[in-house]
Amino acid sequence: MLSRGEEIEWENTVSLNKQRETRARRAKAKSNKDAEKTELKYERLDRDGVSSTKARRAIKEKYAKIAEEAMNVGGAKEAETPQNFYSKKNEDPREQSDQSPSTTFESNNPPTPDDEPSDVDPFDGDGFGGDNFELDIVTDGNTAGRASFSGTIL
Amino acid sequence: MAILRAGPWGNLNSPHVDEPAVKDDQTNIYPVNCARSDWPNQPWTLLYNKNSDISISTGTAALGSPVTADGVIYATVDLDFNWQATEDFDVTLQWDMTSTQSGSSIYPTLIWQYYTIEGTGEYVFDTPSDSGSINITLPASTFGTFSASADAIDTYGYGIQVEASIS
Repeated sequence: MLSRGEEIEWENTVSLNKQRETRARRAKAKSNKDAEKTELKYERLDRDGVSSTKARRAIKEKYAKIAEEAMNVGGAKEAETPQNFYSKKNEDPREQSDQSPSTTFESNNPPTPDDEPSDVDPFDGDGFGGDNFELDIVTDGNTAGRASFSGTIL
Repeated sequence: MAILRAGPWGNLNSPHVDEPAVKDDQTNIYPVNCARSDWPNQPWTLLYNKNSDISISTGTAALGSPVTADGVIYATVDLDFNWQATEDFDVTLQWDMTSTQSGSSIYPTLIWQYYTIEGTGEYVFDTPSDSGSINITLPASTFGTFSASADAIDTYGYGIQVEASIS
């Protein structure tokens, strides 16, 4: 049984890991888009009528497929990650009070993005990120307040 | 229309700067306030500089909090802050300059100025009475910077004290 303090620390770790995963996924999506742009740019230089349009369409389809596959892979991982994650912890015999201290961090810590990379954004389902966040604003009457925004912080 | 917060510190060229660990006017960045109000997580603040022939120090002060500089021959108090406001608002600059020798002339001077990121501004130099206050209207701005300086000289070197505040 985890104490409240340990629970909070655990939740913070999970939250941080999810944020790292989101950033990694965004970077991957951007990299994919950049590669597509580059290919399209060079195709435009070689433009020769109908064949160029076909080639450009093929490039777009190729990268759309890559993006779709990336999202599907991420979805599959998302479905199985929480279950394995918690069951692994629950089955850990060292959860019992008479366990000797662990000599490694490997089995006691939650998986990090390096251990188990995922392309899934746990905060939304659009596959391209987007978080809710609050920022300070000055409203009418010179009153300081906070406003909620939804979007991606670049 | 609402204004997104800048700061927490900064200047007209760099409106988004982290609060410095050491408050020093040499960094040329100052606290960013919401008109005369506190931010949800940051109280209204100005950066002061107390300068005299015997000491110099810098720090932060709250709205309405007097800042006092002591000298033998001269003393100066500088007050600096930035603001964001959706509407014009008034601040009061108060000063009180005294010599330790009663009746000694102290030649008080007062300078205040403001500039906004929208390009408006005002500069005022005055040789006021030894003490007093003045209301200054600061315009609505997405980012404005204000500076005031109160200065006095005791030519006989009896000792001088300058106090100033923004409220």
